[in-house]
Order: sequence, then C-alpha cells, then structure tokens
Amino acid sequence: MTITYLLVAHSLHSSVTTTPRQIQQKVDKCLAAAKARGGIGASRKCGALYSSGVRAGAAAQRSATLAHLLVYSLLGLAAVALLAVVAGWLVAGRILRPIHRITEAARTASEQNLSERICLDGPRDELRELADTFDAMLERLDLAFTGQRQFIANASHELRTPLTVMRTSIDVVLAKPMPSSEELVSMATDVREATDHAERLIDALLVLARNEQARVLVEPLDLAAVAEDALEGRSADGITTIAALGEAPVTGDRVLLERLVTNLLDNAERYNTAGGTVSVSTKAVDGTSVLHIVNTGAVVPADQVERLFLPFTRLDDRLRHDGFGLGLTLVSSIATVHGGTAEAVAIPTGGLDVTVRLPRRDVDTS
Amino acid sequence: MRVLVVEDHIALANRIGEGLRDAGFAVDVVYDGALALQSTNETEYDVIVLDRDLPAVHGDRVCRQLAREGASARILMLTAAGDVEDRVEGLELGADDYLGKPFAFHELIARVRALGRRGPGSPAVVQRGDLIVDRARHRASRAGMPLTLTRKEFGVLERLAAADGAPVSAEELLEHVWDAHADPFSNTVTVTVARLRRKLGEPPLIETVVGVGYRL
Repeated sequence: MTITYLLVAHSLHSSVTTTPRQIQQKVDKCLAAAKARGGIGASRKCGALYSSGVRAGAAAQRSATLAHLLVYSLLGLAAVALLAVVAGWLVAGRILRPIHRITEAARTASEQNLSERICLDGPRDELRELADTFDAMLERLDLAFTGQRQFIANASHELRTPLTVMRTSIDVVLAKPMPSSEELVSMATDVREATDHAERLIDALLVLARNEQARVLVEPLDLAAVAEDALEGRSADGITTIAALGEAPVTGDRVLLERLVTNLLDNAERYNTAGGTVSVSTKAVDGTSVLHIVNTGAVVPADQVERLFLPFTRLDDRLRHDGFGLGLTLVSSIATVHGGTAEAVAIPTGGLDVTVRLPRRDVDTS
Repeated sequence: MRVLVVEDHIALANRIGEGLRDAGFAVDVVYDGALALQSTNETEYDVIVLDRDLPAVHGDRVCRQLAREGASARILMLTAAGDVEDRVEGLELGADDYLGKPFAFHELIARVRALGRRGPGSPAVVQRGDLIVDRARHRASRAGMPLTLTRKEFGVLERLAAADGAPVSAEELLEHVWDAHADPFSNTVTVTVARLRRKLGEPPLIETVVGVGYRL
C-alpha cells in the first residue's frame, strides 16, 4: 500500500511540473498577442497568471487525489485486515477443534467410562491420525478393563458355591434339636471339602493373576523332563497313560510349565471314559518345541472347543467333575507368557487333542 | 407341603433336601433341569426351589417353561448371581421369589413356607372353632392347648384347614404331604388321619366324606 502510495505520489508530482504542450502553445500565442498590443508587463502577467492557475489547479488535484488515495488505501487496508482476522479465526478454530475434542475425550475417559470415541471425520491428516490412534488406545483399555471386571465377577461367583455348601450344611445340622455324632461328622466333612474347593480355586486364581503379570523365572528346560516330572506319582484308575517323550528344549519357568502339563493331564483324565487312554508326547520340530496330549472320552461339540479356554466354562456334565473351569485357561495363559500357543481340537470319535507349541531353545553344542 | 429341589451340586442339593424335610416339608431332589421338568409333569408341587445354573436344561428355561404351562407350583430361584439385575431378570422369567447364595437356611425355610401358603383363601393362620392352625410358625393348638403333631400329621391338618371346608381327597393328601418315596398303595394316609383324629380329641373335627375324602 505504501509503495503504491509513493509511486502514485511520484507520478502525480512529476506531472505537475510539466504543463501540457498545447496549453504552452496557447500561452505563447497569448503572450505574442499581448506583446503586440500592450506592454511586456501585461503579457508577462497574463502568462504568469495562467501558468500559476494551471499549476495551482494541478496541485489541488494532486493533493485531492493523494488524499483520496490515502483514505481509500487505509479503508481497504482496514477491511482486508478485518477479513484476514476473521478468516484466520475461522481457520484456526477448525484446526483446533479436533484438538479440543481429543482433549475432552482424554478428560472424560476414566476407568468407568471408556466407551466414548472421538470418531473424527475430515481429511486424513496428522490430526485425524492422532484422533484415530487415541480411539484405538481407548478401545484396548476398554477391553482390558472389561475383561478384568468379568474375571473378578466370575471369580466371586464361583467362590459362592463352596461358601453356600458350608453355610447350608452348618445351618441344617445345627438346626436339628439333637444332632447325632454321625450328622455332625457329615457336616464337618462337607465343610472340609468345601474349604478345600475354595482353597484350590483361590490358588488357581492367584496363579492366573500372577501369570498375567508375566513375572516369570526363566531357565533352560526340556519339556520331556517337565512332562516326566508331572507324570510321576500320578495314578489314574482305569486309564492307561502312554508317554513318548522326545527332546523338546525350551526356556521358561519350571513351576508354571509343570502346572501346564499337570492341568492338561488332569483334564485328560477327568473327561475320559473308563478304560480310556491318555497319550503324552514331546518333540522338537524346526524352531518349535511341541507338547501333545490326546485323551479319549465323550464327544466334544466342535463349537464348544473354543470356549474351553475361557475362564470358568466347563462342558455340560459338571456333576461328576470337580474342576472349576480354569484348567485350560491357565494352560493358555502360561503358553502365551512363554511366547507360545495352546490349541485344542475335538476328536470326531470322542475326546480332545491338545497341542502346546513353545519356541525352541537353541541347545549349545560345546 | 411338597417341595422340589433342583440343584446341580449334589452335596448341596441333598443338604437342602434334608433341611427342608427337618422343617416338615415333603421333599424331592433332582440334579438337572431335564429331570426337573419331568418331575413337575408327573407331580404337583407346592414350591420349587430352582437353581439357575443347571446342566441339561438351564434353570432359566425351566422357569420360563413352567410359567408358560401355568404350573400351580410357586418358584423360588436360588443362585450365586445376586445383584439387582439378576434378581430382576429372575423374577421377570416367572419366578415368585429369589434368594441369593449363600443364604441363611432359616430364611430359605421361611420363604418356601410363605410361597407354599399363597393362593386364594389360604391365610397364614386358620381358625376352626377352637382349633388354631398357624401355618407360618408350623404350630397348631386346640382350646389353647398346643398340639404335638408329627410332620405328616401337621401337613394333613394344614391341607384340610387350607381347603376351608371343602373335601380333600386322599390322593391329594398323598401328593402334597408325602414325597416320592411314599408308597401310594399303602394305607399311610388313613393311618395318619386316624392318628390325627386321636390327637385332635373331642369333639371330632375331621369328617370322612365317603368316596371323596376328608374335611374339617
């Protein structure tokens, strides 16, 4: 604006000092006429008056033009500045709004309320990426917290069973006017069994919880040796156990891995039929060490196999068995913590086939 | 009063049965939902103590089925799930009452008794002349003197009192005062009624309506 002003001023100025040619010619003519008639003074005055009149007019026009230019320039500047401010405000607002939303979301997200998502729409820019990442994080947290709450609810639900047995036994026997000693012994036996049940349940829950925190003692092991230890001292009436234990080196926690094998063996025996078999095998294939346990037994519906690994789920006929549905959950959890997998497949003729795969440890050959 | 206990934990189921029998009820115990539905088809129960988490047929389904059939038995749902949503759900399924585990046994008894009393014209305390039958407290007295009755005798008296003068057949007495172990062909009912008559004393209150049954 300033530059425009100065340029215009300059051009106007320069135009003032040169009187147009025609007018100069006329002035000369007038001068000539005045000279012929009267004195030199009159012609000179005439010319001078005229010239000065022209100059004054030009000067007046110049200052008027410049003044107008100044005013209009300033107005224009002000208007543009105002527009710039408004436009700037709007643009900044639009850019900052997603950031506000993310901040709000971060503020409202708490343990109780993880269900809100930002769901930002708009161009796929860095802000959108930030919002989407934030949403993904909320999703993961939500799942983790829900899983935890579910677990606690299931655990407390499960613990009520032994408590109820104890309470009912005691209430019923003590309500009798004169309980015989057999009745008292029967009550005491019920209470002891229920206490055992509760203890084992709490134990299993603690292992599961500790396992999730992944505090494992790590040492070089062989799955064959672990399986052998687990099989030692087991007596399964009416069930034949076949073991084919090949070398299967791994790195891991001895106690946890033994628990894994024990749980699988428990399951294999518990859900077996009389006169059935359990086969245990360990081997190393390529980069994986494999533990394979197959048991005969009732037919497991294929859609139920997945559910077996969920905490506290059991197959339908719970009457005979006294597990609490955590056995396979622990197996899966221990396998994961060791960087491996546990899979179960239902055998069409009946029974279950469980395969645990863990990363193979490189055996130093010295 | 005849009660069916449906609970899959065998020791617990048996204990509940034992406790209810001690309290004077005639009790049958089954361990899964399918057997429960079978039993209710064969026998008319006054109250059903139903665990929700059952094998074979889930307790919720049993409840819904019974509600749909318009069974006369009242249902008391028993389960470890104890929060408000679960209670509401249970009641909406058609249960008449809901008790969370673990429970105090005398509360179970009181609730079962309360449920068994329900029905038109069956108040908690029935009076007939100088005979007072307190169904809630399981006591009876005549002319102010308390009567010592066995469980079966009280059961028969209670049934007759609740009938409010209408005759009650021997079959009905057998069904509601005895459990599944009773031999339907023996003369247990006759014998019990006779003993009850003796204990009630003079003037005689129980009248035999030939070909129909007994009434107060």
